[in-house]
Amino acid sequence: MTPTPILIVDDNALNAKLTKLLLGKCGYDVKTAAHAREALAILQHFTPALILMDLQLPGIDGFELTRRLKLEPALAGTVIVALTAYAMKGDEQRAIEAGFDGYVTKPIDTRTLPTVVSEYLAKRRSASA
Amino acid sequence: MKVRREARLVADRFGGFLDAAPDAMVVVNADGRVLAANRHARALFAYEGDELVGQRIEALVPTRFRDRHVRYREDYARNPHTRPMGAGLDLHGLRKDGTEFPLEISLSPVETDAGRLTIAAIRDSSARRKNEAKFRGLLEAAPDAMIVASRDGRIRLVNGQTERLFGYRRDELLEQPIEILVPSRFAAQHPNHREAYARDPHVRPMGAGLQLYGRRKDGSEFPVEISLSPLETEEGLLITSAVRDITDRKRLEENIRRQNQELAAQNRRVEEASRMKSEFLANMSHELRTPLNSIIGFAEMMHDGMLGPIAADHREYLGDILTSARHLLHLINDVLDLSKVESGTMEFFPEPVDLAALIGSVRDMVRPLASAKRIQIHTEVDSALTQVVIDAAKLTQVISNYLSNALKFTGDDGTVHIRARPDAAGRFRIEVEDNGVGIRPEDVRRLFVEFQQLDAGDAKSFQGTGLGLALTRRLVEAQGGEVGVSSRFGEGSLFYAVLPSVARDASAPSYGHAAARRAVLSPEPRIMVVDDDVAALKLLDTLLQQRGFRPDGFEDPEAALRAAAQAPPDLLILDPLMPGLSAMTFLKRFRAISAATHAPVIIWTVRDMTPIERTELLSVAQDIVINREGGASALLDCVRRHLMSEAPAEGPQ
Repeated sequence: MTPTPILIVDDNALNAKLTKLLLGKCGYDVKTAAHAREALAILQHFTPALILMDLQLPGIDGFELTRRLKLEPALAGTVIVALTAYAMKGDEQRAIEAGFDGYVTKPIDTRTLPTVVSEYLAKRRSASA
Repeated sequence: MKVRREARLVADRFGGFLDAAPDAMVVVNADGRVLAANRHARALFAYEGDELVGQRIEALVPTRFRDRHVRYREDYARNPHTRPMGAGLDLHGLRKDGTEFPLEISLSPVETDAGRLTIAAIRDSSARRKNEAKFRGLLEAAPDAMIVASRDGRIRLVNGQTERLFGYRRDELLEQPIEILVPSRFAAQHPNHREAYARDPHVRPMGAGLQLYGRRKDGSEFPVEISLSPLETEEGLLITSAVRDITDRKRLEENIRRQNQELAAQNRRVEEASRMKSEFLANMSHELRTPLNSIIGFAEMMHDGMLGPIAADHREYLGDILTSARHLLHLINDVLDLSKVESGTMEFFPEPVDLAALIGSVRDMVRPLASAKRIQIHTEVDSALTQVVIDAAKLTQVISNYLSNALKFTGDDGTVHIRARPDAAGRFRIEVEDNGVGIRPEDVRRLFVEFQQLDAGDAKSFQGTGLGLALTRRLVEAQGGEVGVSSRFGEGSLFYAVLPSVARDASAPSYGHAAARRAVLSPEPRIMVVDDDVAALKLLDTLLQQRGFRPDGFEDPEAALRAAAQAPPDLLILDPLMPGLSAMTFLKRFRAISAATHAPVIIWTVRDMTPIERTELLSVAQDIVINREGGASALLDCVRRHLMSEAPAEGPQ
């Protein structure tokens, strides 16, 4: 069985590396992008089941990038989860309005993130089934 | 002889008329001899009987004016017509006793059989003079320049202030058009304004809202304030203008305006600086937290053995890295929170909170530390205090600060009590009591102050930020509460916080004013309740009716959808655990009913939900209320809040 593909969009290289390491250890096929342009380039040949997206990105931010990705027919089955440092109420709503399927607050908890990711993926499978 | 005959003739012809006249009247012949003097004239000049008849009229004129009078009389005889005598001159009469008095005379020629006679009507003007003098006195006493002008704009009277203000002498102003005091660019329009005022004269400021200017003799201008008042006189309507130079006041106003501007600019700079500081701190803490994210993350993964087996001592050191990193994270968060509370940018999100559950979760957080020191934690929540409305995260912070302090300063096998009970009306009290080291009385007042850590004495050095209690105090005070401590050194401490049971929230409609909010609700909002539990339906039905709503309960979701299509409700309460139809499917179909597109939906459930479930439901519903103990009032609050925000903007027509 091929590992489930996941894309991490995070401009902080170490955090992206950490998340990649963590999810890689959980058996996912993980790629990382530091900004929107890199993410779009990767998505030309890589169709992830889930994208973990930082909201604060240089240039095109996470909100805008997600709005664009949600228009891509090829990504119709991809779950996009916001990764945000804003532990603010209201962001939940804003992220959902932008098209995010959910959100996870930073700093990520290495002990719970794998569970949350698998829950989102399970949700996606049951929705497409 | 001629005079006697003429006098008789006059007495015959005019006697009755003369004596009936209200004024003193004297009839004089062409030679200037008195032919008749009526009762008032005799009284005025203090003559009796016929004493005056036959005398020259100059007998009534003070000696110094007599020669002149003769000349005037001869001039008049050559060109006789009815007119006031000696216009503009001071006329005086001479009594028989030699005293003088001011008078006014009006002359009329009369042709008779005896030739042309002159009738003089004479009025004692001393009373008027006195009034005029009084009036002038008043004018002089006035602080403003006073100018009395006739309806046609001629200056009749001015006071000394006018001379000083405009730089003209009095005689340069009298009988001049008032426009000479008006800047030339306004002078042309001035007569129109003057005429308009004369048509509707009443006391009022001139040119309300306009900047008025006066013009001095030297042509310079100055700002003025003018108030006008009509003056009805025998000569007809006069208009009095009180003119005030407001140069100083203008300068003062200008100064104040400039000072205000500077203050406002300064304020903006201070606000800007404060905003920049808060922004900087927010950004900074984000920047500080980002690397901690990877420090903690990598350490955690290694510590947990996710990256392969590690030696026991390495595991211990990784634990130390984690402890330090988490402590640093805590510090950063505290500094950020403190700066937020300080700058007033801390936001509070009150929500119905189950205190017992919240305290339980804080207890769980510190359990590892408590069990390491074998400290017993006892919790007592007063049953009268089932639910409060407060920012749960901030309350958690407050209790956990107290609790971790208590654990830090309590020795092994100690005891810590957490108590929650109602306080004064509308407030509740949280207490955390320990039997630890206690605090010296002299140290107590330093406790809640930033960056003040007490010397821990024998009890080793305690790791702390020195911010915890200060932040606790600020968080509590920002919510309208207070903090305090009582302690006996060596025996233990009791820290408390008193908070409003129902928090005020500026961003959402306030709680606790149901009556006020009800007033703006549409009459009997229709609320659809969908729940397969008949008992729950019945309970909600009763509760909602009591609050003036019109509930419509449905066990069967399909029936509810049909009813909504018929008459869409103002709000929907939905229990998502329905057999046969998922909540999402139901809500999608409900939203598809065009009139129900915008009706608020509240999810009402007995079950905690995963973040995914919440996220999904919140994409179609507005709120989720968990049905715990006391949850009904939370639901009712939620209902009111949504009906309020959904109420159409109906202003008075």
